[in-house]
Amino acid sequence: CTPIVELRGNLPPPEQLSQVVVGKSSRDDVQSLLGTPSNISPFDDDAWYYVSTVTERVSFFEPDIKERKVIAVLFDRSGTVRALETKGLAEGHDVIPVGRETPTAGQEMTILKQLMGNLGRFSKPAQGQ
Amino acid sequence: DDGGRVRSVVVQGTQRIEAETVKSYMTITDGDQFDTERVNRSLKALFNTGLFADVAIRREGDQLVVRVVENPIINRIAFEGNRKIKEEQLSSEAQLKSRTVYTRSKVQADVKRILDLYRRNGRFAATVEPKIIQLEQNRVDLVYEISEGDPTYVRRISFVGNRRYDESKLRETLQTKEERWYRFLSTDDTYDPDRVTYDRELLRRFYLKQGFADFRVASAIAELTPNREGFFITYTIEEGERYRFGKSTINAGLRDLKPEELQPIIVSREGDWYNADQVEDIVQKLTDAVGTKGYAFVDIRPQVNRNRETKVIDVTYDIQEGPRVFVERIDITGNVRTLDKVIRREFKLVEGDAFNTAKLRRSRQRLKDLNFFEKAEVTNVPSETAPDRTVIKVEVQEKSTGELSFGVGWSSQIGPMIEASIRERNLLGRGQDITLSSMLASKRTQLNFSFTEPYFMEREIAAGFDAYAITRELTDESSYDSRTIGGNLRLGYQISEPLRQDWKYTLKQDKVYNVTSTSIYILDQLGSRVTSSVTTGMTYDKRDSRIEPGEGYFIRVGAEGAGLGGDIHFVRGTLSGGQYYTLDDQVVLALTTNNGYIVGLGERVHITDRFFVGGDTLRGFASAGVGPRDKTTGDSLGGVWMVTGSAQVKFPIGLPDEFGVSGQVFTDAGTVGSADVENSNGVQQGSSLRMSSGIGVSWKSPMGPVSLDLGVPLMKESYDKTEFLKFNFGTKF
Amino acid sequence: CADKKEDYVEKPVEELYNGAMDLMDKNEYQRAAKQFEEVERQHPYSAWATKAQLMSSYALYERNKYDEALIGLDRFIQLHPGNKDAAYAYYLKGLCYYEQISDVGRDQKMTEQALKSLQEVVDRFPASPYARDARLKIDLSRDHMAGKEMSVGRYYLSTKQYLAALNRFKIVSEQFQTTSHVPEALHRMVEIYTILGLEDEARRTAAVLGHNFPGSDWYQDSYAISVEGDHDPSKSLQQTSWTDSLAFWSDGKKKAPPPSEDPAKTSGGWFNWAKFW
Repeated sequence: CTPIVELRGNLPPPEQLSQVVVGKSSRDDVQSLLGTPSNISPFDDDAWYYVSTVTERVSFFEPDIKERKVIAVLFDRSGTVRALETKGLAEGHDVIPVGRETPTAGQEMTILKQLMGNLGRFSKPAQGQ
Repeated sequence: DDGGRVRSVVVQGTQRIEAETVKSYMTITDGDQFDTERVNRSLKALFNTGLFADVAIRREGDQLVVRVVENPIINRIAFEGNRKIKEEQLSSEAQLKSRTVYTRSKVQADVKRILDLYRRNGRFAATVEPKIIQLEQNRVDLVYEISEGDPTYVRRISFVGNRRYDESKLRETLQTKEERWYRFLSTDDTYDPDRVTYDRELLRRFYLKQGFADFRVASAIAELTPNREGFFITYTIEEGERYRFGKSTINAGLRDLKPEELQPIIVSREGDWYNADQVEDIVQKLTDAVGTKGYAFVDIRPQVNRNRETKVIDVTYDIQEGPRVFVERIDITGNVRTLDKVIRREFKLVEGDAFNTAKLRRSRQRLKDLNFFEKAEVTNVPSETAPDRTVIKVEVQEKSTGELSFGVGWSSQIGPMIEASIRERNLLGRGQDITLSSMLASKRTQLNFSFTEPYFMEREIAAGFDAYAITRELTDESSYDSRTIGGNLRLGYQISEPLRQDWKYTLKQDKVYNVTSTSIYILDQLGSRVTSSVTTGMTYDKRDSRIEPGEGYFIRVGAEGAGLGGDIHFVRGTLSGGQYYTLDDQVVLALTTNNGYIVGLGERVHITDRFFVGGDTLRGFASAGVGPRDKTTGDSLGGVWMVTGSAQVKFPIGLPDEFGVSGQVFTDAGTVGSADVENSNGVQQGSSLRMSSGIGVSWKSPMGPVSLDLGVPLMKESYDKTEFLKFNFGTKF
Repeated sequence: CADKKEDYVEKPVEELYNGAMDLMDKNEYQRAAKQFEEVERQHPYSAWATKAQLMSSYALYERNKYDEALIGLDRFIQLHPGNKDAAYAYYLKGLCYYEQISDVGRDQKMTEQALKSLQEVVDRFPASPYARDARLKIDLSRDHMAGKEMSVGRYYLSTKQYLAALNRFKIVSEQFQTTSHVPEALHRMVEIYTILGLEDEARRTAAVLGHNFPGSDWYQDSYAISVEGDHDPSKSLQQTSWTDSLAFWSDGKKKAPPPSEDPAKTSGGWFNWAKFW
């Protein structure tokens, strides 16, 4: 059976990308050519990233990432493009995310509360809100 | 008379409300300039609070005197004359509560709310009279005198302009039904304007599905009968011509997208009747195919061009580049119980993806299929932060997914029975399914607990476990009782849309006891055994519906190996299938088959694992009526293989469709293999073909499904046990 | 029929009021609420009626009957906006929503409403004794909203949707800077930037994390990844095992610490201003 191929994220078309000129294009040029970036570097907004992945999914197996492209548009202080880099899947690393989580509070749903909640919550429409 | 300063504002006539409260609502205070404009604004403000029946402000020297008459306080609210709608529901609908301020406008608004409530319950003849009883200290009692009148039923639904289909056929497509005595359980026969508008849509979709592309509902009028008892609803429709499919072409407006590759997706053949649902289904499939080819931004619109003379419709699927818009965020609200990820994982779109309307439609459908929600609205709104981004808003309203059901019934195989089950389909809001069910019958008791996690390890794998205890009293068939206690771990996934595979590990103990016959073949099966086995199955299902299939086919293949530990070692194969044809309106031919084969690995196959045929599997024969039998005692011993087949035609028997009665005529056939015992000279066995045919009737009564089958064996062995009548009735409420 | 009809015998207001107060002391909040409503019904124009109105809402709140308490409080605020107890009425409204905040996996409507009404307390009555606790609860509610963003971010991370996860964690680091989730958000960004191959972005983010939260475990993990190049800092001892997703009897993840004993709820707490009357 044929795998399902999915394109995720934002892959700017090559002909638009070629019009971004290092040393000349400004932020507005890049915005109009490539659209809003998928991610802007935190804190100082001097790097725009266009991230896209192509995955192949066979029924329930985890989709395996066929190709990933991270197009980095770096700006200098005056706001013109100083560098244009592309990172492929090869440059990526396999990081195992840490399992720890910052705790949060809030009423956890218990089985009993669900059975009770079931009867109360849905029978009367929430007034007011 | 402006000018001069207000030395002080004096409030008179307040009883319950403090003077500061009155002053706090006014826009003019001590020390301000006199200014009639601000006085008027204060006057208006005080009235707007709704606290006062009357307000007067006048100037006395340099004092501003504010005279107020407070609105009375409602002491108690009562409803009289309400039978159908309980007081609790009425008081929650009315905004006025006891101990709040009484105003005429609020009372009128509540009267209207109560009337709306009655209208929604189909009571258009209801009247509501508010009565005020003065009490001392400016308090009042408020009494609503209600006369409910009779429910306004829908007396008759008639159609004008229907040539192709008769009125009863069209009435079946509507949700609103005419008033009937057997509809005391349902409210479908009360008049509800919203439901009539929904019926217009149902009518349109029905005709478009049959090919009437020009269909139009000219008008849908509901007239109240003179005695205000009921409504006549008349639909004036223009059927227009019935069209056939002409040529279906693809107009690919995308760079180097070759239409030929997509052509196989279009299943509508030239000459078939035109079908709007099929066109929408094709649009969905085209979007997926184009998406797989890497085109993220695609907008597919079917252009339907009619040719009135030849009554043919050519459909052109116009594939254009969609707007380059990305999904910024998916915000889910209203999930008071369901976890955010249980909803988010159903989405075909992920934040940051290219936005696509077809994927949004599919996500909305997947969310509805969960059947956790009363309402699931999925919309997208432009984002404020960037022009080429959109935010998907998901607003859900959950419904109770707990099911508590009881059932009573009777069947010729296991006699009278009662069953009870409790099920929660969205346990702890995690989408997990948990069921505890029990059944008590004269010849069988069963207790079953099962748990399923639909997204095991975050993937679309349904994993779960069951635990069960079953006791069977098989004295009539083979004069022994058996008890099975066990559990299994299971795993299932969809390989492709129709193809599904599942795995199961079973660990159970079978005990044969209380043998009441002298048959050596039964006696040597006494005692208990442990079976530990792994089963795998593949199902290819192309039926149009699982509950009442009318078209398509399914095939199921299973293989089981027992022997990973435990006392039993065997290999068992099963093959079952079915093909369905809709011959005419609601006449369905069903061809089904069920086969199995078991072979012991270096040991005899135990009686509880052998195949028995008869009863449900071969009508006309008693349960376990076919197969090897002890010559002397007549106990059925079961066989190592079985083959059964059935051909059945189901047809309406002329009664109106809502009765839910249908007749069936059937022919069943089948046989069983040998009993795999040491010395078989004491056994009567033979694998000749047994066959029976007969008629039956099944009725989806308000009390539950009832089915009666009369089967006449045509070919049988002398030692088979037959059973002419098979009846079972089961109700769930 | 409805609960047994109490005999609404007319009694002098002091007797009714004090009777209700005794019920409060005996933690008979349900009956106390009924009795306070009687005070207001029988003597709507006495000074006691105003106090009784607020006390009945307070009693309902103690019985966790939040919806009814909210209706009573809204009525009190509409009738007596200038009353000196209006601050407490607004504060109690905030508490009614605050205590219905559900865990981060579910709809945060209650959190939003708690934030709105607690903010009203701080804006209208900055000097009142309740403003301080309201500010504390506002921070806790904002922390909870950040927790929701984090939980969605972690979901996307677990299904390898790195771009979606990255932007969720970025929102926490920018719009919820005063919450307890910022260190983890920054660390997750380091993880994802490394995965995407943007090592210098990862290093810069790790530096910001180290500068602001030097002692935190998250910084050690980020340091390990971005500086030492160790891509499995927790040495996969914390792997989510397959039993996690089957666990329905107990929540797979660690239990959150029980919410601190809420001063408003304890009858002995300084909140029991009823004693001042």
